Amino acid sequence: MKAFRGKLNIFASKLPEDRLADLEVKDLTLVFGGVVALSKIDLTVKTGELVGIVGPNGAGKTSLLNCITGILKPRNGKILFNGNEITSLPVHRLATLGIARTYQNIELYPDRSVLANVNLARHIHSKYNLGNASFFLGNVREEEAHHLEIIENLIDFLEMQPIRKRSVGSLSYGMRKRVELGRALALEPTLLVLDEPFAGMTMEEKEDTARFLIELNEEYDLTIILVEHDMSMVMSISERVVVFDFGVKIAEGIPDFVQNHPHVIKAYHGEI
Amino acid sequence: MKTNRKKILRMDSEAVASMPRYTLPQILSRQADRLGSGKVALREKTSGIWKSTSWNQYLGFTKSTALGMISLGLKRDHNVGLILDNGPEWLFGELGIQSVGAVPFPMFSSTAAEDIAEDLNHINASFVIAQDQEQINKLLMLKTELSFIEHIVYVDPTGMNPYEDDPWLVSFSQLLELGEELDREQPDLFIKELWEGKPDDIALVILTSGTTEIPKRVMLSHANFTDMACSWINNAPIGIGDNWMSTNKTASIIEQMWGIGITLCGGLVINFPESPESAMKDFRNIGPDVIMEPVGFWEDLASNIQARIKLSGPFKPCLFNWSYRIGVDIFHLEMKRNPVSIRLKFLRWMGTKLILHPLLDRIGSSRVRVAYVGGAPVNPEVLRFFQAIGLDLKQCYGMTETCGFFPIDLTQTGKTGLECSLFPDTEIRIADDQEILVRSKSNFEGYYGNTGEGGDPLKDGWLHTGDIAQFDGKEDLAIIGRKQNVMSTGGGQRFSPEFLEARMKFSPYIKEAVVLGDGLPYVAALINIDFGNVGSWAEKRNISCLSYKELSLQNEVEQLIREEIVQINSNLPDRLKVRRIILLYKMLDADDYEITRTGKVKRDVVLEEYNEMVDAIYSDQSEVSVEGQLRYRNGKIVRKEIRARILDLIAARVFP
Repeated sequence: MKAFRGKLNIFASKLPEDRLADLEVKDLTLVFGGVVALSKIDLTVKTGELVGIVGPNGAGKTSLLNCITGILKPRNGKILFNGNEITSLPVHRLATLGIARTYQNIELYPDRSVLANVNLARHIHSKYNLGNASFFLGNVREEEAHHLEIIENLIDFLEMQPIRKRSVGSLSYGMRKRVELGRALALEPTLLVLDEPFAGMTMEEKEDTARFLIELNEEYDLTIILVEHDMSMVMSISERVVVFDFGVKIAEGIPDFVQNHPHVIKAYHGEI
Repeated sequence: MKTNRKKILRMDSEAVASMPRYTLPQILSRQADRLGSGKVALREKTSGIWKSTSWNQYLGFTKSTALGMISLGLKRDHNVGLILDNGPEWLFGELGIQSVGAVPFPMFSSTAAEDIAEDLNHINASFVIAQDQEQINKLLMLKTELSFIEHIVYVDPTGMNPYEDDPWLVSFSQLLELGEELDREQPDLFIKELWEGKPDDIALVILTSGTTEIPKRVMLSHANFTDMACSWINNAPIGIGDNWMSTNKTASIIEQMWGIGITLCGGLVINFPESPESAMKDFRNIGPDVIMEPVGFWEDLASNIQARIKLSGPFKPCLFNWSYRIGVDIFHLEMKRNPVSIRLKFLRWMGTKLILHPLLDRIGSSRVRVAYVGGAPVNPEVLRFFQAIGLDLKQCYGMTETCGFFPIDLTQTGKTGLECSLFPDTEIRIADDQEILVRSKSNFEGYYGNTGEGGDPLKDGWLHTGDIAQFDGKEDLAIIGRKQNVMSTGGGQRFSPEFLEARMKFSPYIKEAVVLGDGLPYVAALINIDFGNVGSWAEKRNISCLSYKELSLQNEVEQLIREEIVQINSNLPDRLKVRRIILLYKMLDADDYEITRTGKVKRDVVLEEYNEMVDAIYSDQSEVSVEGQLRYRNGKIVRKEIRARILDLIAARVFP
């Protein structure tokens, strides 16, 4: 019954101390050969914030996300997550610490179903071993049922019921982005890092995604960092916006302030 | 072959005979005693799993809803607006309200906010039960105008956090808790309220579809529903535990007559899909025993099957056409009540095994005992199509005022049509002016508020339906359409546009057609192509298009539709041949008031909106440019100059 539709249990049941996601980027510099992709970046994100990162093409937005999620290693600087340094940790360790991300160019298994793709993220929460799993013993069965329940909860939240068993390859671009968001959420992250979550979506899909993100942020205190080109979307959902240009942070603040900042106007429209 | 061999478990005939003495919620309570916790009453798909509700639980939820509404302040004879999707809450809400003696008024969830407010105002509703945040937003927008509403109950809590503190809003789960609390305080209250109801009380106020006039509010009593339900249970092959799938909008009479009438009285299982988008897939999951769908559903299905067969490679269409032809031959023999030879029977058996049964399974209909179609005149070709592929599709007749639909057989009935109703208690007569008259205990109690134009259609117990039937001169009758719609050409010959439109809509590439020609020299039509089927047809031919508008203006598409209409014309008498057509640049849309919420064309509105095109069709022009209104996918509406070609189908345009 729809009247008994519950909350997202994996997030609703978390204690406040388990939701901590304070991120601190200090003096970060990233260099590709002779190109300085990021230079001396400082950025702080506090638990429960929804921060938007914008900037023209090649500004270094995705590079910063790649550093935060451990895919690229910076030349200088530090990244602290809840006070611990994570700069040199491998990617899979970051996932267990509670950092999950989505990609600009969707990275899913196109031949597998939506269920299977989202289920993949649950492996870091599985406790059974290979031996038990080979014979699908009692505890494996129980645990898998538990994971399935969590995933169904997510599918319900993201309104993906009609496509549950469709293969991801047959879905529209916008729906694939939603599946990817589902997979990131199935990790039970405390910090969600999204690379262009609205790209290639119809207006309706954008509105749906915005609704999901706002609910995740406000209702479940999930900390979100998102990089996005669609300015109107970023400005309407973010509490704080950071603007990059040529690897340098040029402005930071509430959306209204940033929109009228002379450096930002210059970066986007050139000299006026 | 896996046909449905399940034995029909009939309701006890004594129990059925006694039903008209009770109200619908009283019948629910008796069914719960009879069928108890062992039998399934409702089934809903959630989290990908079908979850069942027993008859006892069904009664329990209804009781809690009823008591919850009482503790919110609902009184006997109050009216309650319902804006609900298909789901158990719809039934709990409706029957709960009825058990208190209040009257539910179901509304379409796609209705615009202003129209909802007007309807609620008209019936002076004291409560509203709404589905979700979307509906709540509409109601909150007009809060100041809706001050007479005491509380609004919402079913789906998704996205409702921002409104949690609003005392005007109550969640459905809170409502159930309130009900349980009141039950603990006054354990006899529900029984007392329940048995105060009388079968002649009004059970429901419901809107007519409003194809030819402004929708009217029809009052139906409990007895209307139970009487209709008993006729079905006694005469149709349905029994306890049979599966029925709820797919139509809850404010339509089909859904009401089955949902709270037939399934409740007959002990059938109602199955609710997980979401409207997954309805077809869930339909196949369940494999219903009985289906009743409006004409549009069957027309679309027939179009889809034909289009997809055509695209399925060289082998399958041959096999399909072969077995289809055998089916048609047998259908014609059976229509004329002639014997079918053993050879044909054997061939049909083979065809069924090879292709038709797998096809029926694909559309979730392999277990269907009987399927019914109602709601508008049915194109005989649609009936023939489904009969030939092995689905026993039967025509029904009825309307909101008759409390739903009953099966009819128009063949060999003679001119008065007295024999055509298949229910002994429902009589049909064709009046001298060809109007169809219906007499049964299910005929409605009257219109709510004013009766509207035309006065009371009930005269001496006969309901003047406003539909006309035509006698084909031999033995068969055909229902032609609405009396008001009948047109006459310049030559003074009368014809029904609905009849022609149904013929055209049978083509897989034509979605909607509006026939013109009233008082004009020849017949012409405005046509909506079927975006899905024409789209895949175009894709196969490497014709690219981005939007409906672009596709409908392609030369190749025009040629395709032209061929389709020429084919249809070849079976029509000269005076009814469609001479000129225009492919419309946009789909007719309920949001633009061009079709009703149940998907029927509103002729006046369409003629008004596209008058420039209509004028052009009856002139020498071969092209017309109009300023059309287009709605983009981001919701923006723009007016744009559009050039549309007028297609000539027959060289001589002057009416003979």
